[in-house]
Amino acid sequence: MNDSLRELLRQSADTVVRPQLEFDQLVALADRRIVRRRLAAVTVSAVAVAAIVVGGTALGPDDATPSPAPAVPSETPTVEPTPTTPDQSPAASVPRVPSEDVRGWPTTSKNRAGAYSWDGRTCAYSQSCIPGFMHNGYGSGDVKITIEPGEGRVPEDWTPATVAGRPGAHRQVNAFQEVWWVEIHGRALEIQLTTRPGTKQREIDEGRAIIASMYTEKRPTELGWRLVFILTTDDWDSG
Amino acid sequence: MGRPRGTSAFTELVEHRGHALLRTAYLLVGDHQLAEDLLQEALVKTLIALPRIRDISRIEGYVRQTMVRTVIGWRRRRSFHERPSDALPEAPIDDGADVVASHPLLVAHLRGLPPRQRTAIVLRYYEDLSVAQTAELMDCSVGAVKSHVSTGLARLRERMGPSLDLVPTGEEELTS
Repeated sequence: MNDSLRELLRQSADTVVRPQLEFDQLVALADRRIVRRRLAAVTVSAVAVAAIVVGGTALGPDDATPSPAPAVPSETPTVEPTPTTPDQSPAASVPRVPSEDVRGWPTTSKNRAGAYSWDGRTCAYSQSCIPGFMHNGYGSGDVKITIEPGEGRVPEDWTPATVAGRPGAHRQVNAFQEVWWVEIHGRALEIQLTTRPGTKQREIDEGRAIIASMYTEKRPTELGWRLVFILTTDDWDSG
Repeated sequence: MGRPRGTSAFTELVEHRGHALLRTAYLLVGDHQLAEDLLQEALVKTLIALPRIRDISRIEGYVRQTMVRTVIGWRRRRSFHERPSDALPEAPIDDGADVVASHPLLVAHLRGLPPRQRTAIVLRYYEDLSVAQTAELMDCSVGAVKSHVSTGLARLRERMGPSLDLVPTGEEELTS
């Protein structure tokens, strides 16, 4: 079946001449790209710092209006604290998804809206993902969420907040970064939401909603549990 | 100053498998220059990821996967300068004469297919991958692959006329 298709594909491929691939050139390209990524990261940080400084200067030390402290956003995950056993942690207000419908961490390609999870290892669909990192790359690419190991105890001076149905803490680091801290079965996690200058409020809200949707469930993973969350659009990927 | 782990496997891959990879890249994009760009992009990405690749013996599979996902990603992010087009070469007229399907004609028609359909056809019929392997490489479901192949073959059949025996295999027929 389809032998002529196979033959034509083979003939087409035969028109390709041997490539002149220089290893050193590939290394140079890779190095340049790594440097560019680092520069971009530094630039984003610098712009964020500059925006904060400019914002502070605009108000001015003599400004009669007191500068409001960076409030915890109204969309901060405010899952109702639930006096539950740790494995039944989701608050009543956080809808649960049947376990079989929960995927692993979003892949590096486009991921459809639905329930995903973090267990430190497992990717959705395939092996290709960067666990703990995702951004709305199929949207503006301006919003990033990361999950990383955190300090072993509740950081001081942070605002109490409920995270993944557990008592945790929240900190507005600057205009473009906020962090939630939570301890799950003895493992402290920091969930970070990072945006850029000019990010649409809708996208910031979407990022916060993802964090607000988090809950844990017992699973036979290396940790013995996983952190489930809901992506409401197909904009998110981990590449 | 030691090179990263896997560098020798990578150089060997570039030297000995570069041509085969470029052939696949060409069928994926339908243009020689773009194929070189695609392969180079995949190799650079692989080189950057080299320290994180656990099984170096499967590095060629990693490059192929990167090529497939890169080419789909380019188009899905609307940053790729080639777009599927309806302005295709004329389909041969079935006037009873023997019309011989040629490979330039096939490449032209392949280029007119949406990227996922084209990729699925190339992986299934050039790389001879199973539906499951194709799905893994394309990062989609088995059902989606069957659908892409089935629809893609139907379009090719429609455009190339009866000169090519294009029929979905049993696997694709299940969902077509």
